Amino acid sequence: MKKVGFTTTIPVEIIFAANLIPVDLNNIFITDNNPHTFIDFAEQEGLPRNTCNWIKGIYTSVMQNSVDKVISVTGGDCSNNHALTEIFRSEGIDVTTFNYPYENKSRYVSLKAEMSLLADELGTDLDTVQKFQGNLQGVRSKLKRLDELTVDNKVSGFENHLWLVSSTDFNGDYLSFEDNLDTFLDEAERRERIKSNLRIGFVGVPPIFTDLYKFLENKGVHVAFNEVQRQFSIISEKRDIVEKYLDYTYPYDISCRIEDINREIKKRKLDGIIHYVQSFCYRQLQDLIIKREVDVPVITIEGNEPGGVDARTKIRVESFIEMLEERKK
Amino acid sequence: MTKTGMDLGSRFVKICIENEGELSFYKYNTIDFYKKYVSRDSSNQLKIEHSLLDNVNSKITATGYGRNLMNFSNAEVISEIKAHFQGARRQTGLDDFVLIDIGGQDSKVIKASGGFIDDFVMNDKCAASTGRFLENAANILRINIDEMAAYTEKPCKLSSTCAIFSESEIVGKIAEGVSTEEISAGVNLSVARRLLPLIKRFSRYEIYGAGGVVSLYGVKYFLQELLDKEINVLENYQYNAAIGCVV
Repeated sequence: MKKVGFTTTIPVEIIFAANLIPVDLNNIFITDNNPHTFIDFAEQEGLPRNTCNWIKGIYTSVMQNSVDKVISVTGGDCSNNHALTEIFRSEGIDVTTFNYPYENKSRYVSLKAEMSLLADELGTDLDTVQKFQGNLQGVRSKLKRLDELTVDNKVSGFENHLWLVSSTDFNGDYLSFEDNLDTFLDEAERRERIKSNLRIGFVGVPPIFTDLYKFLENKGVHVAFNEVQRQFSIISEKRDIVEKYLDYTYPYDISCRIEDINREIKKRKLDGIIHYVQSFCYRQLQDLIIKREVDVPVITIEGNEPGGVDARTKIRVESFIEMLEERKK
Repeated sequence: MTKTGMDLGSRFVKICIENEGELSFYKYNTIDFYKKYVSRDSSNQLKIEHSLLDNVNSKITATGYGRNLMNFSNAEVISEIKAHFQGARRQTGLDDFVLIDIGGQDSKVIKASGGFIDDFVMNDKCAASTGRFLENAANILRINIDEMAAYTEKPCKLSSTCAIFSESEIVGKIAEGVSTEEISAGVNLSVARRLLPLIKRFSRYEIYGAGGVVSLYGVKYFLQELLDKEINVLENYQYNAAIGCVV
């Protein structure tokens, strides 16, 4: 079976329905034993230093032949993907684009058309995809259970992050993913609750740091919300495959995200929010809106390369925790 | 027993000793301080030498840039934000204030209300608005930092986003024949402009200043002009965090 790589979350049901293997290119990069070599390779090939390192990671993943075909998301995510698509094409790589519609009006029609085009490109059709989507309903509701257990202090913020972020491609095999998840949930349900002084939420793209969750956990902080990772797991319970991906907030305008964030802050009783931004990412601009619209204190941290949290970021996060603890007293 | 507050900055270590309500202050070059007064104890943990305090038994509380890198066996370590907040509270006697601290490598703004920290911001990833940049600029101009800080007339435009590129921009200005006075004023203005985004949203409150940079005439002049607001420099502006450690 052929492997189809993608640059950010796409309706993965389409790839499965076409009997192909989905591969989230971000995961190839970040789960490699030495992700730095991906960045070095891309820079040696001429990608600028002051460009997002995820783009470089994706570039190298593709150039090193990890997939047979690439779906590049050129609408609803980073506009660097336009240039990346062009680079891939100039290298003779098989690339197709996918666009989440930005405009609110007739969004359903536009998204449906995009999904049909992609299905057609992969050798299937939307009816088949619609029929297939029921097969993922079970694993998706189990991910929801995992998220509830995180709110209930039985699953750590890091475990939550890892499972949800892996659900963009189900590690290529949704059946064994579901099996592993069953085993995990079984064990997690029977755990003691994690003790914590503070409950924090992460908003923004998944952090590139490798030890951020551990750092927070050591300070007695429970990460009870991973905004974008949760969105990646496609939480909508609607049966219509197009509706499902319309409820997914990440690729559309920020107002949907703010609404989701504020609702979850209340529901999960969060004391504060860490807004993670990636260096050179357009989403850094949205920080202004997030700070303005979110109902609890927000600290923004920025990461560039994979690896441990730097000393300055640690100082800032610690001070933020201290401030929240004082407030709580 | 006396209390000792220690602010381990990137350039200087500032010390405040409280003895029966009286404060006394000491300042050391950071490198000299680490070489002379920091050692390892029998379990290989860092320890502050008691010779520093004339071997008097004192409770040591430390803060500063080194706090995440070092763990002292004989000192309690608190965050800079907390130290500055407590220091400013003691120095102003107020529960509500905005404090701006501009140091050798970082700048921070803390907003306090009702005797609690309400919000804070710190510069991140860039030292272009800090003391280190001023030092380097003064070195290039071959004048001392206080002299450079005295100039505010006709500031020349320095537009680099990066502190290091700014330095080569200054060299370029010298080559173009721009006067030292105008370049100095330009340096002061560029530091104030970079600090502005950090402070702007707090500008409706009373603003107090701490740290070595805020007391420099030119930087303070341009900051006040850009904010259209007076900055009250704290009496012991360089020792604010050290004072906060003994509270």
